[in-house]
Amino acid sequence: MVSLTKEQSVQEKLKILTDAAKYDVACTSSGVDRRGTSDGVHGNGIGNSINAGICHSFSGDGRCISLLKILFTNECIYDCKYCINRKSNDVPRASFTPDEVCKLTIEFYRRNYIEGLFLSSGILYNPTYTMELLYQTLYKLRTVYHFLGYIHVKAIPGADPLLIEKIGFLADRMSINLELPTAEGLKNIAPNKNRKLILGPMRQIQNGITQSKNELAVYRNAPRFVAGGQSTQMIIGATNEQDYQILQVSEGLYQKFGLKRVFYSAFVNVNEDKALPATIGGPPLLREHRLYQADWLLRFYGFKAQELLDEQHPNLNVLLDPKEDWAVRHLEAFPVEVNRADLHTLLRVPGIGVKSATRIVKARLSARLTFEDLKKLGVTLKRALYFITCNGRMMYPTKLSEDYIVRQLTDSVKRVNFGSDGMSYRQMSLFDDYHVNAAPDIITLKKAAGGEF
Amino acid sequence: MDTILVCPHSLEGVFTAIYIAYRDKMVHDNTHIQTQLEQELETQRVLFSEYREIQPDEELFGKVRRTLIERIGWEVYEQICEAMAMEKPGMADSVYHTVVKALSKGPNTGCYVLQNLTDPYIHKVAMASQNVWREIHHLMGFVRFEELAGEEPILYSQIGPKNNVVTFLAPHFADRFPMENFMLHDCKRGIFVVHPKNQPWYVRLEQGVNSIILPPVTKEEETYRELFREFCQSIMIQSRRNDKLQRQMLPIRFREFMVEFS
Ligand code: SF4
Repeated sequence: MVSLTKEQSVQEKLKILTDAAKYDVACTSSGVDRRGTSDGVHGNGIGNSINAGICHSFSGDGRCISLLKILFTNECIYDCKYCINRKSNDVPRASFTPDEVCKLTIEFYRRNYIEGLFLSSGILYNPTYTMELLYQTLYKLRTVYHFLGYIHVKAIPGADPLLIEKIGFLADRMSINLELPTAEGLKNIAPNKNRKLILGPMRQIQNGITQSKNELAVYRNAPRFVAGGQSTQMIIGATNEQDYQILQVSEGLYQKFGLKRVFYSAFVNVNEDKALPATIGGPPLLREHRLYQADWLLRFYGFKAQELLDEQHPNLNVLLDPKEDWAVRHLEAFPVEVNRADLHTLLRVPGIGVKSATRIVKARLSARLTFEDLKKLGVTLKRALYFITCNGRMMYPTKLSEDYIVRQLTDSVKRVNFGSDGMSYRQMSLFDDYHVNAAPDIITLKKAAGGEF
Repeated sequence: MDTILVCPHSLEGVFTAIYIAYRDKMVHDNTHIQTQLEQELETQRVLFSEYREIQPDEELFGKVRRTLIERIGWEVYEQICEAMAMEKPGMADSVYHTVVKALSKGPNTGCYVLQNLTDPYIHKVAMASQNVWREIHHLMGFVRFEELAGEEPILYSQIGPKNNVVTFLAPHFADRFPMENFMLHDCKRGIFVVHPKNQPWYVRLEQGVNSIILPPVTKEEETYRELFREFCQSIMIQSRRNDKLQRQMLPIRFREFMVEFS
């Protein structure tokens, strides 16, 4: 493999290695609280971290820019069909040195351009060799440059477990991409990867996190291992898994691997590879959006994958969001009385989010709630009104029939929110406002209605 | 007849007025607090009320502050401070009546006062605090520093926030950059936060037009600006382009201070 790095400037490298990293969707900096000073004044490093995460900018696709998201190198010995950096592609190649990455991180961070570093890499020579380079970079950044900001690093499947262990004590978050929802899909389009090599280190990191938590409970100053948790990513629409399978996989990852987040990435056929679906009409953004909504229901609303989808009903509804879809299929559970229903039940009402549900429970301690109050508490009455009563009354006399409600809910196309990626959901976790994410993209929606997805 | 206590738009002002309302045993339902700034924003004067000017008093402010923190807890206290950062008519009065409600309850219930969102005063305070907090959180990310030349480099940032939030940002950056000299400058209100390295930060008000002459930026500054612009361009996925979403997440009003948009 010929390396061209000698003649390249940092600027050229940054361009190539940012471009090569952009299809990785995660850019969050959440999950870690770490102060940069002991008393608000004195400290000997640079940086801190706040649990909610911080977005520093938004790129032209509306995605949050939080971390300096780059590859260490885009040279790669593998040939994954969906990847722009695959061996068989003729693209410009570049590699950073550890010092270049450190310097860029620090100088961007001082200017408050970024919240930290997200370092991933193509596979140079072999996984262990590559992982060693990432380790050296992080080690330098933490110990020579005294950087205390956020670091997210990719674990390279197949790398020496000892290195993964060592790097885990330097990083705030680690992730290994599952890439495709099923082992079969992976085998078909990423011939050099296999599921076992991905799940192995995922388990290792999970165990490391658990052990570190236990040690921290005993020794307050024990070193922290991947304190911000582990995440992963699946490409949506490159292979033909159904949403039902995808949600089952996510649920398994949350429950059995303790993952903090699963990210979904609408497939873009960057290589125009004949073996993969064409994405001329654009990547399947609406499907990705619905999966994020369903994922949200799994994590914060107490839903099970099985409740949302099953074999008879394997894909998410394009016109209704997953909660509405569930509600109209379970009209026997409605209407619920907002002055009495418990939190769990309120969370299942369309138009009531986590924040408004909690507000309802608290506010009704001091007053009996009216529809007017509900509005103040942030409930979207337009959607909730079919499913609730207030002091025994519905807002309008309403037929509780599936067809009627579906028609009403889908009537105003404008209403449907359309955030095209995980970042707007991160926003939701900050402000928890299900209705303040992205604007509806009417064209996409019409396409969806026309069955184009 | 209603009494209106008039004070400057600051926590000191409003808390002093609250102290006086209690001290003089005024009937809360017939008493209101209005700040001078609010009066400017709202030209209409209420007829048939008595106006009374209040001078902020540090000692009385301290007393109210301590009582509040003790009775309603830090979290709610902070929310009240945030609400006052919003320069909207009626805010001081809402804070006042929220405080009255909080203190009228028995011990250990004051901290729940902001949950009673059906009360219009409380609703206003809670929503304002949420709004202001959102801007603070936005700015934690959107603030851009540039490096000014000098014996030691100084990081300088100019902002023009909707609400008066620069002092809320200071602790965050002081914790993040303990070893940097930095300045946050709210150019809309003429307020500077100054942080000399390894020292506590303080506030300076701009006096006169040319009160502070800034040194030029360092040689490397343009290099890093260019690198970051390059980065922001390269990270975008063209097939997902969505200007509307970008505008929604990063409102235009912030952009004039951000290098990647200049
Ligand atoms: S391993 Fe596969 S996905 Fe990763 S850089 Fe190489 S070709 Fe791309």
